[in-house]
Order: sequence, then structure tokens, then C-alpha cells
Amino acid sequence: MATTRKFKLKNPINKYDQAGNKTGQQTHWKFTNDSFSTGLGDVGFGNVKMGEWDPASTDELIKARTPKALRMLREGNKEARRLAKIAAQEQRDALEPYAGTEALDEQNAILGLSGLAAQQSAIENLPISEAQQEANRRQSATQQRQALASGDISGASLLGQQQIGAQQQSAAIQGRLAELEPLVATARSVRSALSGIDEAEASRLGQIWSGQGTQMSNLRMGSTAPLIESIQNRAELSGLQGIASANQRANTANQLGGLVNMGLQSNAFQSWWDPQSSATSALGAGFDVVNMFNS
Amino acid sequence: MGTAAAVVGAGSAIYGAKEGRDAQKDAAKDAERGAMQSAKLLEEAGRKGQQNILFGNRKASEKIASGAQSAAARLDPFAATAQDAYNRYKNMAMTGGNIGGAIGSAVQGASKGAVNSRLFDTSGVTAGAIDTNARQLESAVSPMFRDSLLSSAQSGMAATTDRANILSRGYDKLADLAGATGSQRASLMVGSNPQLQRLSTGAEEARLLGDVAGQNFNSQMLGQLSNLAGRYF
Repeated sequence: MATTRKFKLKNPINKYDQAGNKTGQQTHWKFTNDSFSTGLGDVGFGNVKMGEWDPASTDELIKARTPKALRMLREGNKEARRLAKIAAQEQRDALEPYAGTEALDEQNAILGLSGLAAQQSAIENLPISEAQQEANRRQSATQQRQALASGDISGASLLGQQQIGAQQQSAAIQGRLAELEPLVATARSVRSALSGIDEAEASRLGQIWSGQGTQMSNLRMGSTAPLIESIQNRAELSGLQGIASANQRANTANQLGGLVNMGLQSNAFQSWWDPQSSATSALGAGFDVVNMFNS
Repeated sequence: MGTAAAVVGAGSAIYGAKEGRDAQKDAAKDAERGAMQSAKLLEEAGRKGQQNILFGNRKASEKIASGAQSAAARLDPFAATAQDAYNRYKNMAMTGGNIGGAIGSAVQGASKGAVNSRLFDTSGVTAGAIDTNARQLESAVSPMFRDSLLSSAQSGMAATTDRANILSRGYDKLADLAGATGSQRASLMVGSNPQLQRLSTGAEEARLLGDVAGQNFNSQMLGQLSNLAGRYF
């Protein structure tokens, strides 16, 4: 489903009609994120849209395309980051249920790595099955009966009873540690995998961000080339136009000068002109013509 | 009339030369202005490009650093007790000591509890024997628990090593990023130098052409005036 958002332009774009008259300004970009549904979810292929407008020049057209291109780049990278995060999260969700540290905590407590109080509590609360409790009881009882039956309540029987007691306690603790070991190993292995996922995700996101910066700078620099060429061409054409106009004016002046000379040498002018006037008046007449051209 | 015609001819020639000079000067100024405008465009694009590179790489370094920290933190529960477990094991192995702690107490207690009944007389000398037996029994079972400590220490040391490697890789990536940032920025600056040089040369040439046009006009005008003066005088 498409959702449309508006972003304010930093530099509004002028709108013109066919005659080149300014009709208004565009102040916002409309960005419609077109989503494409896949089996893994929606993927957004951002579509940056502009309102209808007629650029006054190719320069304006080129300048307007650069921010549009930059916006496309940012939106594309944003979507890439979103999907990369989802990819990593999918992996984490599959492994998180197996990453608990309860077994490790109990193991550490039993071994005394979490402090004496925790160790005492853990040992006092060792879970011993009913079957094991019964077996222990029977073992002790058997030994006592044997002692009674033989009348042997000497040191050997005493030691035998103590051995049974110590052995049963030791076996209970060792048994518990053995039960916890596979759980601890599993958690260790799963957490290592999760670490790898975290690292890979960070690396991927870092690549996208770094790549975006480089791509944006390349876009900016790439868009200057046609603009510079356009500026240079305009300057050259303007200069050539000016020189052509000047040449045109010079030709016109020469032609007019020629006409004036013909007039000065014509019989009509000769009959009009007083030869006794100062020679400088002829020079003055010539300079008047020159000043006429220069005005 | 021949003099007047010469003045008119000189005047139109001077006018034409003046127009030509002015047009060439204007053309030179246009070219120079165009070069400056292009250079400013290039400079602005370069400046914004630098900002883009810095921003992108800053975000990248944030992600890399936080990713390395969270990855390392996954192993903290295993790495946290590694040194303690190793020290306890080492101490027991080197001194032959008992496991001690609550395990030792529990084992001794269980052994004493087994004989604390109406069956045996546990007073006097017997009590001493019971205590001695209890300590010996603790000693007998201690090797098993020492091995458990070793196992815990080895697992913890592996986690510690992995954790250190994760952080080290994070630093390596940050180092690569810092180097790449400098390289990208430098390339961006240096890459536009040839173009700036061409623009600078173009602007300089335009100025020179403008000056030449002015000098040419002056020469032409002086030539025309001297011819005119020669004819007049």
C-alpha cells in the first residue's frame, strides 16, 4: 500500500508557463513509498514525485534533478538498512530461546564463583530426585543394619557410614554439575553465534552508511560537470554575440561615413560650401560626424 | 573636402575599433565571470560532498562500535568468572588444598550427619575421629571439584578470548573507516583540482585577452590620429 509524505524544500523551485512567465513556486517534495509485497514482507521501492512544472532553462532542470537524486539515494539506503536489521533480527529470534544463562548462574554458584552465600544456597537447594533420595536412604540403612547385625560399631563402621554420607553428598553435587554442563555449553555456543550476528549486522549497516556518504558526494560532483559546461558555453556565446554586434555597428559606421564623404564631395555641397571659411571648419565638420557616431 | 573626408574616415575607423575593443573586453569579462561562477559551483559541491562523507562515516562508526559492544556483551556471563575459576583451580592444584567453601562444608556435614544417630556414641574421642574422617573425606572428593573448576575456567577463558577478538575487530574496522574517510575526502578535493586549474587558466586568459584588446585599440587609434595629423599639417 502506498503512503505519501511531504518534505519541505530548502530552495523552492519556480514554476513557469509556456510563455516563460513565472506562475508560482513549488515548496515541497512529495514522496510516495511504493511497497512491494513479497513472501518475506513488504519492500519499499521509494518513488520520489514532483509536481508539474516547466523549467526556465536546462540549468534549472539539472539543478532540480540533483536533490531528487539525493533523496532517492537516501530513501533507498534507508530501506536497505531496515531490511538488514530485519534480517539480523530474524536470526536472533531463532536463537534467543536457547541463550539463557540460568544453568551457568547455578553452575557458578555451586562452584563458589558467585560468592559464599550463593554457594551455600545452591548446595542446600540441590534438586535430588525421589529415586536418588530413596537409594541413598537404603544405602545408609543397609550399612547400619550390617553394623548392627555384626555388632560392629567400631571405627570401621563409623568411617563406613561417614564415607557413605560424604559420597552421597559429593555425588549429588557432581551430578548436578554434570546435568548443568550441556546447558551451559549450549548457551555458550548460541551466544557466540549471536555475537557473530551482532557483528555482521553492525558491519552491514556501517557499509550502507559509509557507501551512502560516498555516493552522495559523487552525485554532487557529477552534477556539476554539465552545469559548468553550460556556464562556459553561455559565457562564450555571450562574448561572441557582443563581438558580432560590435562588428555590425562598425560596418554600419563605415557605410555611413562613406555616404557622408560622397555628400561632402558632391557638386551640391561644393556649391553650398564657402571656400573662404577657415580650414578648421572642415575638420570640425568631420569631427561632428565622428561625434555623431560615438554618441 | 579631402580633409573632411579623411576626418570622417578616421572617425568611423576609430569608432569601429572602439566598439570592437569594448565587445572584446565584455567577452573577456563574461568568460572570467563564468569561470568564477563555475569555480564557486565546484567549491560548493565539494564542500557538501565532504559533509556527506563525514556524516555517512560517522553513522557507520556509531553502528560498528555499538555492534562490537553488544556482541562482546553476549559473552560477558562466561568471561566474567574465568579468572576467579582459574585462580581457585591453580591454587588447589599447586597446594593440594581442599575444595573448601560450601562444598567442603556440605561434604563434611553429610559425613558427620550419617553417624549422628543413636547408633554411635559421638562424644569424646569418637567426635574427634568423626571430624578427622570428615576432613579426609572432603579431601578425597576435592579432585573431582577441582576438575569442575578447571572446566569452568577453560570455558571462561575461551569466552574472554572471543570477547577480546570481537572488540579488536571493532577497533580495526573503525581504523579502516577513519583511513577511508581521509582518503575519500582527499580524493574529493584533489579530484576537482584539474578542473579548478582549467577554470583559473581560462579566467586568466580572459583577463589577458581583455587587456590585449585595449592595447590594440590604443595602437589603432593613435595610428589613425597620426595619419590624420600628417594629412592635415
